Amino acid sequence: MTIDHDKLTRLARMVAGTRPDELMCDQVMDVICAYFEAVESGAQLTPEQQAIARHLEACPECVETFHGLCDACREPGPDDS
Amino acid sequence: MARERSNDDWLHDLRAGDATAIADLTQRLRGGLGRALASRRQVDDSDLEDFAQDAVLRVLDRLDRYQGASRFTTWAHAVAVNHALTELRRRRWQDVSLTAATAEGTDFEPADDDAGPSHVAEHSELLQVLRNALDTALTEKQRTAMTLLLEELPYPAVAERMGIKLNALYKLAHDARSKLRDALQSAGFDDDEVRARLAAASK
Repeated sequence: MTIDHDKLTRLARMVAGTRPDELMCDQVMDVICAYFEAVESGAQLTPEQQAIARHLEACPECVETFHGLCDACREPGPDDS
Repeated sequence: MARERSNDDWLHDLRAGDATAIADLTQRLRGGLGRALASRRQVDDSDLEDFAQDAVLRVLDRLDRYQGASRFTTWAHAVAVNHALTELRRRRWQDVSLTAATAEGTDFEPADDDAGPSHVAEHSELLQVLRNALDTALTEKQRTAMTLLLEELPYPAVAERMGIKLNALYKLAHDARSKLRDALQSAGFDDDEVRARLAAASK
């Protein structure tokens, strides 16, 4: 298997975001809804939500889920009201 | 048009097995999944229907886990999106064996070290250190996990293929990233330096 330039760059980003006390993906999924609503409303993030933001900087999978949640929750159409 | 419900209304109606509430939830999650997965060509209407149905069952099965920290519908959308993305990642990788994914070890694509702007050379230097650390600083198990995760194999699939529990994989990957971070820092690349070089290279 080849680890190409793009993957190494992604890994470097993940590594730079690594913290001893960082949240794990399953912990992020438990609290991502409240984080989404805080971001959406422009509210000041709690320390735990700041930890989520740091996790999202380093975790492509959780970012994908977060963006999916943003899309799912935005501007419900006639079928979604 | 479905009626608006409060969080408590949703919980009450769904716990009571109210068919209208279940239909409203299905419609709402189907719409959300349509928006969330709109850019994915491999997802068709049949998939969206299946994901929505599965999501409703998951929501109904997990009502006791909803703690009121967000709107109920946000929580339900999160359950649906997470399930759909996990399923799509699993589909993508279900035919790729762990052996095939790692059999040849971690070869690295040569960096383009041709003379160029200095930030390109600095970026290559950073990645070279990272390549070496992958080979020398990690255990074989950690290297396997990181290799598969970099292939965007989902955590549950990696855990399954490696025969370890999901939480053990989270810890394994975290330990691996910590070791790589230590290696970068030992080579003079602290977090800010890494971010600066990545930012410069992306311009």
